[in-house]
Parts: sequence; C-alpha cells; structure tokens
Amino acid sequence: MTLNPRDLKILAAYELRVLFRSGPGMLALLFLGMYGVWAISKVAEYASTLNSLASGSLSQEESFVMGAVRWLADLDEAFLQRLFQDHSPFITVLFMAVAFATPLFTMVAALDQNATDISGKGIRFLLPRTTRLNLVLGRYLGTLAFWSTLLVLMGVAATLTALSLDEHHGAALVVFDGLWFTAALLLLSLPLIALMAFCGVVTGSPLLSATMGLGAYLGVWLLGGLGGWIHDGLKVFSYLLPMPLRYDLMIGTPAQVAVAGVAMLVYTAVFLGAAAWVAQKRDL
Amino acid sequence: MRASSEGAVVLEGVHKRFGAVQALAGVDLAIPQGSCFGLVGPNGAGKTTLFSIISGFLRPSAGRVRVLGHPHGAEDLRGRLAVLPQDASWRKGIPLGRQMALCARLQGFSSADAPREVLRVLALTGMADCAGRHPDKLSHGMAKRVAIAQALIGDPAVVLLDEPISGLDPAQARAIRLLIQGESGKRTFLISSHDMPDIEALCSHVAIIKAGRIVEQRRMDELTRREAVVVFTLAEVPSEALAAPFRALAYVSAAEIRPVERKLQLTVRVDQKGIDEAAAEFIKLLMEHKATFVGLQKGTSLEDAVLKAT
Repeated sequence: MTLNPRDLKILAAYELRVLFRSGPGMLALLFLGMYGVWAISKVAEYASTLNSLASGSLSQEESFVMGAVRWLADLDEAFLQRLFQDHSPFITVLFMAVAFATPLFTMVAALDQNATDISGKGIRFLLPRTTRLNLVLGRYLGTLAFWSTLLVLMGVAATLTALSLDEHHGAALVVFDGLWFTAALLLLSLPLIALMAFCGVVTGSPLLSATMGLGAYLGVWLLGGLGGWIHDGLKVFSYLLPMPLRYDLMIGTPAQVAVAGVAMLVYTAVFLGAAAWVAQKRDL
Repeated sequence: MRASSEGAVVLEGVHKRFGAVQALAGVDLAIPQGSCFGLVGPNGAGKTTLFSIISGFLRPSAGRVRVLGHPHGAEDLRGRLAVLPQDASWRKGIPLGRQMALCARLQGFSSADAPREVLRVLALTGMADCAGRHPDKLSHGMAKRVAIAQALIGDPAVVLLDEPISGLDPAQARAIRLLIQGESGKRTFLISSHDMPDIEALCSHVAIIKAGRIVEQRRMDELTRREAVVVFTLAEVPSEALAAPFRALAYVSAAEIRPVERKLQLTVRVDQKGIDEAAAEFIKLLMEHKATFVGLQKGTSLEDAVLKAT
C-alpha cells in the first residue's frame, strides 16, 4: 500500500478537470452558485439592519428580534458581540448561511470519486498502473481542489460584498474575515469529501454512495439534533459527523476554533483512512 | 501439482470464496516467462475469478500471488503489468484519448509523451482515429480494440487478456491474433478465452480449470500430442472399406470413420511411430484410395483435451 506523490498529482489534476465537466460537479456548482447569490442578495437587502447590529445601536423592533434569536438559539451576549461586532456581520451572516447548506453541496460534488468507476469496472484500467491508496487519495485531492476553487470564489464574492456594505469595520478586518470565512469552509469540507470517498468505495455505486452519505447526514441530524431535544444524551450522536462544530470554526472563541479545526482534521483522517482501508481490502 | 517459484506469474494455494460459493479451491499456477499462456475451462469453472485475481482486481481469500516476483501494488511492477479486463467501461463524457493518456501518465510517461504513446497503441489496433471519440460512441468491437490498445501502452513484460477475440468480426479477430502473435516472445501473455482454436493457435502453454481447480497445466504440444492420433476430416463420404488398409498397418492400433458435427472424420491411432511420419504415410494411403480430405490434425485438439479433462 504505497503512496506515490507523482501519481497523486496526476490523479488529482485529472479529477479536477473531470469535475468541471461532470454531472455532480456541475450540480454542486449550480447549487452553491444559486445559493450564494441568494444569500448575498439577502445580505444586501438587510444591509442597514446588519450595520445597526455591528454598531450595537438597534432599533426597538430589531432589539426584540435579536432577543428572540438569542432565546431560540441559546446564545449569550458575548457570543452575539463576537458574532456581529468583533467580525464583519456581513461575512458572519454569509458564513452562517453558506455553512448551513454547504455540507449537502459538498457531498453532491464529492459523491462520485470512485463509485462509477467501481460499478462500471473502469477502475480496472487503472489498477495495474497505480495503487488503490493512490487512487483514493488522488481523487480525494482532486475533488478537494475542485470544491476549494468554488469556495474561494464564494469567499471572494462574500468579501467584496462586505467591503462594499460594511460601514463599521475597516477593510483589513473585512478581508481578514473573508479569508477566515474561506478557510473555515475549506476545513469543514475536508471531512465531508472524505466521508463521500468512504461511501463511494463501500457502495461502489454513485446512487448508493449519495444515499449513504446524505442518509448519514440526515440520520445523524435526526438522531442527534431532533433526538437531542427529547433526551440530552442523544446529542452525542450528532458528533458522529463534524456538522455541530461548523459554526465554531469561524465564530467560536479561539479555543473553540482550535478544537473545531483539529476535530475536522481528525474526522478527515478517520473517514479517509476508512476509505483507503476498504479500497485496499475489497474486490474492485 | 505445486507451482514453481520461478515464472512471470506464480500463484500458490489461491482460494477465493464469494459467500457460500467456493470459486477457487487451492490454485497453484506458474506461467513461464515469455510464454503465451492460455487459461481455459467451462463456464463457472473459476476462469474469470482466477484471471481477476492475477490482475489484482479481486483479493484472494487465501494464498499468494506474485507477478514478476512482486505482489500487486509494488512499485517495481509499475508499467510492467498490463491487463485487458472484460466488460470494463471507460468513464462517460471524457474522450478516450484523454483517458488513455491518464493510463500512460500513471505508467510513467510525461505529459508530452503520453498522447503520442496513446496514438501509437491505438494505431496498433487500427483505432488511431478514435482518440477524440467518447466511449459511448464506439461499437462493441471498437471498444474491445481500444481496450486491447490500452493494454499495450509502454513496454509491459506481462500482458493479461480476458477474451481478447470475442465480439470481434473475422477481420478484426485476425488482426488481433496477428498482433498477439507478433508480440509473443517479447512479453508474457496470459489469455483467458472460450475460443479453443484461438487458444490452440496462439498459446505455447495452457491450463485447464475445472470447479475452481487447475486440472491440467502443460505445454500445448504436450497436451495435444499426448494421444498419438491422426485425424482426417474427409471431403466426401468414403467407401466403407477405407479404414481397413489403415488397420492393416503394423503401427496402427485402431482406425475408424465416424461423423463429428456434420463432418466425417477418419481417426487413426498410432503406436510405436512418430505421428508426423505416420501422418505422411496416411496421406499417401488416402491418395491411393482416391479419398480426399479437407482437414488434418495431429494429436487431439485442445477442445477435445478440455472436454476430456472437464
């Protein structure tokens, strides 16, 4: 089970090109693009409210809404201050909106790293020429490069939007937040793409891979999220996937950011390790 | 039968189980370097499973596989093992040339040399104009020839071909046979096929698999000439007495005329004499009796040997 950097580079570059023409790649691009445009248009529509939040001077009506949000989301005053005053609120809101939906889009983009090639046996043209580990990791890196490209574009759009609308934060902070926004979304994508790599090699079918990945996402959300409302102990199941930590990546305390960042790497290592192990053991 | 530790491909005690089904039950096999090795057997005997294990697609449940002395995935095997897999599909929506260039790149070709190498091997199989085509635009025969072409990328020492001729029209089949014959000796070939005449014509060695076990593994001439018989396929119905002069020869133990698949065959069993020499004398005898023949076979056919073994 050897790893060859040249093979990884070749496979990643090839996968990147393929994704810009493939169904899942185009679908993810379309979803993210439409969702991003919608989120940016909404942020622009409510620019004055966000600027009020950033200044801390809310109207009576806005204060009431924020109070309701704090109560519903169980947020404290310090958190809200970090959310809207220490960061550019435009970047923060865009991050929260994109981070909410991006797992599904990421999983769509990443659902067919090896699945079609296993079901159609096309992988057999490559197996005599490289190792299974190279195939799994190379395609993972290619998918990551593809998704990173889209996220960087999204980050640039979010930063430009914030720069043009934010009246209370300097350009340096907005750009810094924009970079952080992009890096946080990238970190969140690492384990999700790895999860889909695992689903693909386990099922060997793009449809089953999508079903397994999205099923896991929804299943964990139902069990940990909804189940957590019924019984606190069930909340632990939501940590089977990295989703509960996603907002910490950008708007948590420094300690929370660090823990969430390390956790993303650990999730990635586990999912990718499992994918490589299954690919090594199974018939292809 | 224990496989030698030398050979281009060596299998020792290979088992493969799919759930309750024992597909291979202790296969020992040694494919000599530079040979053209045929793998034959009835449907369900384990031929495709064995081929897939040698190719590294399937993992054996037990046992050991070595190609050129290395396990699958070894860096030393890079570019030295090539496979024509059966029923493998290229990715849709990507031109074949680009997909084959990926294969060439993974075999060590530079990004500049890979497209040239792809065109070279496509030309070998008469498909040079297909590099820009998409996989779903090819007929079955064309797809087969492209798949054979990818197995010839670079300079592989071992080439594994699963049913290389099936699905090809006669002209294409002949072209592929000639291609394999031309490459034989330069590299080791393993050909898995149901087509006995092709295997017999192409291969220097053969293994017969039955119920997951190798029941024969020999040089082709040892297998087909194990029985000293000369078989003539007759052009017309002979006189009933035609077999008699053959039986009268001292070195002939039996001679009979019988219909085989809508043809009449004269089978003469030879004792204490080389069959080449005996065959020459039999031809003279047939001419003396004005009997014409359209086919001559010295020894048994591979098909007969396989039928007997399985």
